[in-house]
Amino acid sequence: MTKRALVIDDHPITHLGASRLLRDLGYDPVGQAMSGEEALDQLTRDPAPDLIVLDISLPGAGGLDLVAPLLAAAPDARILVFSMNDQTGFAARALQAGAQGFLSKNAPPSDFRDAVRTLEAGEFYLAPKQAMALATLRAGAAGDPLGALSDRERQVLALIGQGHALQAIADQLGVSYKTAANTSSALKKKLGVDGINGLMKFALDSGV
Amino acid sequence: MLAWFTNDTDTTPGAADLALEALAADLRARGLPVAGAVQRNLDLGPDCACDMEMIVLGDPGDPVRISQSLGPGAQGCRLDTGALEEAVARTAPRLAGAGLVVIPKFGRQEAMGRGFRDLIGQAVADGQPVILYVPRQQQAAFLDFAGDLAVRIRPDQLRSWCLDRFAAAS
Repeated sequence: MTKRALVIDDHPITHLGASRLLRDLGYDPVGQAMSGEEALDQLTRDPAPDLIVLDISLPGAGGLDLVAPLLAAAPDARILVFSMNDQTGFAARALQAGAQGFLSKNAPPSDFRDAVRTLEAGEFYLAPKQAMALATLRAGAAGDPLGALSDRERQVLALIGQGHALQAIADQLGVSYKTAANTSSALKKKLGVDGINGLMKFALDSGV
Repeated sequence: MLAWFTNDTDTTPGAADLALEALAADLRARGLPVAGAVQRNLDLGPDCACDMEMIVLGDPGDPVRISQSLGPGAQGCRLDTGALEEAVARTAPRLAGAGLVVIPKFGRQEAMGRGFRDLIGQAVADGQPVILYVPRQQQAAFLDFAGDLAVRIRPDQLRSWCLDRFAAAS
C-alpha cells in the first residue's frame, strides 16, 4: 500500500535528507512545503499524507500552532515534529499540541527511522533520553515548584517562556507593567532562578 | 553534522582548497575513513589562469579537470559544469562507510541546486559529518539551504572539529 508523506521545513537540506529517508521507508510521494501556509494549501489540493514531518521553526505562521490546522486538514495524519531545539519542554509541548512524535535534527538516521515506524504503529515517539527526562519531570511533579504558582504567575511564566518582554506580557494580560514586573520577581523567588533568562529556561524545561 | 568555514583573513586565491586538501591528506594518513572530494588548482604561470581539478578521495582514477580553456583574455566562467557533475558522480559511490565527508565548496553551482548540493543532503541524512568551504559570496545561499543545521567553524578549527567527530563515533 502506498504511503504518502509531507515534509514541512524552510531549509532544502532537510527536504533532501528527510525525503531520502522516507523513500527508503516506503513513502512515495514525499511532498515538500517550505512554510505552514504552503503546507495547508497543499493539503487542500492533494490527497492527505499518512505522515507529516514538521519543523517548528518556520517563517510566518508556524511552530506548534501549526499542528492543529494540519490535523484539521489531514485528520488521519501522524505528525513528527523535527526540530533543532531538543529541549524537553519543547518535546512535551509538541505532544500536548497533538503531534505523535518529537525528534531532534541532531539525532542519527536510525532514530528517524525508529520514530517513523513507531508512529506508523500508532504509538508516540520520543528519543529514549528525552522520554526519560520528561518522565523525570513528571515524576517530580509532586514536589513541583509549579504547583506553588498562582494562575497569573503561570500565565506570566508561560509568556516569558514564549519570549515575550514584560511590557508585552502586561499588554497581553491587561495589567500594568509594574504588576507584570512584580509577578516576574515573585516567580524568580518561588522558582529559585536568577534573571529573566533563568525564568525562560525554567519555562521551556518544564513545558509550562 | 554539517560544518562550514570561510576565509575572512586569508584571501590568497585557493587557500581554502589547499586547507581542505591538506586536511583530507592528514586524516587519511591517520587511517581515518574520509570520503568526498578536494579541489586542486594548478598554477600555470603569471600569464595564465589556473587549471582546476577535482580529486575524488579514495578513487584510484585520475583527477577530473573541471576548468576549461576559454582562450587568452577570456572573462567568462571557466568552470566545466559537466566535468563537475562527473566528479560528483564519482564521489557519490565512495561515501558509504565514511566517517567524514569533505566537500570542496558550496559554490555558485551548489547555490543553483547543482554540483555537490544533493550529495551534502545525502551525507547529512545518512548521519555522516560533512565539512565544506563556503565562499563569502555564497554564504546567504548556503544558510538558506542549510539553516541552523550548519555549524560555522574557524579555519584553524578544521582538524580538531574533524577529529572530534571521529572520537565521538568511536
